[in-house]
Amino acid sequence: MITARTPAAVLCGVGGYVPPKVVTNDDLAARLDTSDEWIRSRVGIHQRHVVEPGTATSDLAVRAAEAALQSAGTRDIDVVVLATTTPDHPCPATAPTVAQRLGLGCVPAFDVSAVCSGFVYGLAVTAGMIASGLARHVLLIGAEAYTTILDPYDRATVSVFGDGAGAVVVRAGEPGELGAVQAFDLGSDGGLAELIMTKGGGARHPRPDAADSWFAMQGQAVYRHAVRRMVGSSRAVLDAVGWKPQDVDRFVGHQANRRILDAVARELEVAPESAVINIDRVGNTAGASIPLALADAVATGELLAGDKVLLTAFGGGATWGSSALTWPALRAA
Amino acid sequence: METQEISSRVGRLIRQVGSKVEGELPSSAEFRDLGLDSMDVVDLLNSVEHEFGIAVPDSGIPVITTVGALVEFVETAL
Repeated sequence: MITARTPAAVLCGVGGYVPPKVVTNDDLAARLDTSDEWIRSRVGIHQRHVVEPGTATSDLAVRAAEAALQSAGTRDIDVVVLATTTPDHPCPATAPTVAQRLGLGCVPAFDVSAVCSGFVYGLAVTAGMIASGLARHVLLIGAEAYTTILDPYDRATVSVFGDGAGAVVVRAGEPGELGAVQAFDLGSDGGLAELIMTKGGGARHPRPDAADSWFAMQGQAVYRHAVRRMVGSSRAVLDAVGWKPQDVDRFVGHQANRRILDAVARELEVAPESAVINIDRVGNTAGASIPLALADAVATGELLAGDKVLLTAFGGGATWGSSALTWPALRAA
Repeated sequence: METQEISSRVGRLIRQVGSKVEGELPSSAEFRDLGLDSMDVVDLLNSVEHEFGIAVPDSGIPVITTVGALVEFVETAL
């Protein structure tokens, strides 16, 4: 008798990287109408890491990926997926460059564009490729040189975003084992596209003037929709895996804004101390934020084998997504 | 619902989301002058939706900036 089981996507390595240059709130206050108190009270950020001129998303992605590969103890990768809002170039995708620089050979490599939800979307794509048998080991990276698309005089965005990368290695495995991704909830609402947008530079507006070439965000409306969607999506995933909110050991929300994270945790009724927080040190790194938070939490011992982990994100599009897994035994790289 | 009742309930919600201002809130008072920041205002509008069973569209966020404007919005929506 021949039997076939759909393989599960099992997380088996994690790594993160932030560029060395740190910009504090006081550094921003020296050139913008803002203050350390203003930024801390509104978004809970104390500092962020930023790239130097000439450093691009692929440079960060390669560093985080190297750490994840070391954590996984393998370089046997057959697909590279990169979640990013800030590709090195509008065309082509950045993932093939990253795969080539990592020496992974001519493997399939492509970018996923879902802004701050990109990592969760990428994880779903990864799980699907593993379930279908197309891949056995996938390197999934979230990387952003986000400060390269910000108006340097827009305090609302400059104070929030930072640069960085996080990566995971996902392998084919069994549904019941530690590290197996158990469920997803994904969604989008194109009617909210203008809340988070770089208007120019695409086919709709290919040669923009200066104002339309920068990233812009309607902060109040984003706050409102982010909380609603992250709560709703998280509940859908919790229902799917049969966990109660109090069963969640680690709540890893997209590090958008400390007050969004607090509001989502409060409405979901997960334990406040379950929240993994690194936004105070790295800011909002968009598609990199969840894997970077995971890597930081492993490094600090906040994430332990067997922990029930809930991931949730909201981002431009608007897009949102959540996932649940039980954390594997990993070493920080 | 009487305007007085709406004002009273709106005043309670404004304090619930963080305002420390005591006494009757003037209709002309701006939310920011009552100690609310931009995200407190969003929390306020969300709590108004729950309290009165109405919807406040995103387009209301930048224009409903005073106690009076919010009371008037609720009156119209009910």
